[in-house]
Amino acid sequence: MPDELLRPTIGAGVDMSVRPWRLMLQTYIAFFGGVIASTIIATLNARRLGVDAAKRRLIVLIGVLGLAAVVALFALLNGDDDMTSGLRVSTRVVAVLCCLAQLRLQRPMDRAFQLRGTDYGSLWGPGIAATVGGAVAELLVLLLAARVL
Amino acid sequence: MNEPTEARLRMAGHWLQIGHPERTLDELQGLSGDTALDYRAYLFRGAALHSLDRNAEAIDVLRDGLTRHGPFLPMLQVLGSSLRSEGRLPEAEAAFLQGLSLDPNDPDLLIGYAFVCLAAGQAQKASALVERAASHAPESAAVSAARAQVAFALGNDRDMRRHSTEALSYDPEDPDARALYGTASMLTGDSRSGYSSLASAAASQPGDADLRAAAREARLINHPLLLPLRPFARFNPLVVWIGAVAIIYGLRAAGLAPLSFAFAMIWLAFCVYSWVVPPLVRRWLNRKWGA
Repeated sequence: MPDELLRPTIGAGVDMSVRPWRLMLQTYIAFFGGVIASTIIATLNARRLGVDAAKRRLIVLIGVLGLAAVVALFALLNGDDDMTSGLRVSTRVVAVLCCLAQLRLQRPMDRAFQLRGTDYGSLWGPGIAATVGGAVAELLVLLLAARVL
Repeated sequence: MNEPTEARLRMAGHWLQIGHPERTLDELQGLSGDTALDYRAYLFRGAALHSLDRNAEAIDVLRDGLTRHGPFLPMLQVLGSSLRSEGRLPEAEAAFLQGLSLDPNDPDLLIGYAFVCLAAGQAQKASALVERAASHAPESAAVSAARAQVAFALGNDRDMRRHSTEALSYDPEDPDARALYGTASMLTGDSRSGYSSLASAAASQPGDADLRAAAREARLINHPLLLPLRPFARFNPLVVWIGAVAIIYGLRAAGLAPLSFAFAMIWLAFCVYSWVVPPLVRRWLNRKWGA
């Protein structure tokens, strides 16, 4: 009887020169840059970690759903002065919650990366760029939503 | 084979065993003629090169040796490990499976294959392989250490600590077991014993840059200036974050806007502190240690 455990299951090697980013830093990007910023970084990082395509699509889907939730919150809370700060906080909560789900999908491959014993890359440049770019993009989406709604 | 040549080969093996791979290579350099082609010369040279992280060279030497002498389990084992270190995971898998086709129950090969699966992110399969190795070598430090790594890959930090404690109990001086235990301690929030384990592991393996960096990082977390950041190490940082956001939002919802604002400002200051101070302390410690 063939031994299931001793059948080859590894499809591809890993490029040891690719440097993913530390997972925890993504929460800062989610908090300050919003859901678009964290989704961009999570997607790029998942690719660097070698996360499979299905999970990478799920990361993007979570980002899209998060953005939809932000637009919905905007539609509900915008215009009321008392609620503007509530809107700010709640969009951050949505971004961090989405980021949590996106981190969960990256975590097994992040642990595999750590076991390979190579170093992380620096997130300073891409992180700041994604934070600023993501925040501006989210603002534009909300401005567009304000005109449509 | 004459006596001095045999002694030289034995010496090369001895240096390898006590952790001086560079001396193994020196010893093997002195071999000539047929003895340079002895299967042990290939194995020791390959293993020494792998220990020195010169994996591409190790792979060439071991493939030569296997072509000359045929499949030989210890050589396949080191070849598989070298290929894994190079990130050539399908080739590493093939090397281990070739060995396991000759002896499906060899614990070292099973554990070696498990490490390839871990590097590929297949932690469940790695766990099954380690358990099969455990059924053939139940009381072994290698099995406990492999279980600790599987637990790490699965995100079970407490199990990692339990298994690394077991590995350490077999040989309290073993630097690899100390490094595992140190990492597990850091992950479970015990940064003090984490630092002492990582530091002693780094001290006994002065050539290991990764271990030195891990010890340095642990030292950093134990620094008095980083005490305010301890909640991040003790609890999941995400939980701390969600807690802070919940407090800010909760206070505002309760109509305590000024208090909420004050808390938000304190939280912001804390965040800035957590970004600015660790790199500064790291730079200062590195300068002090002459890095």
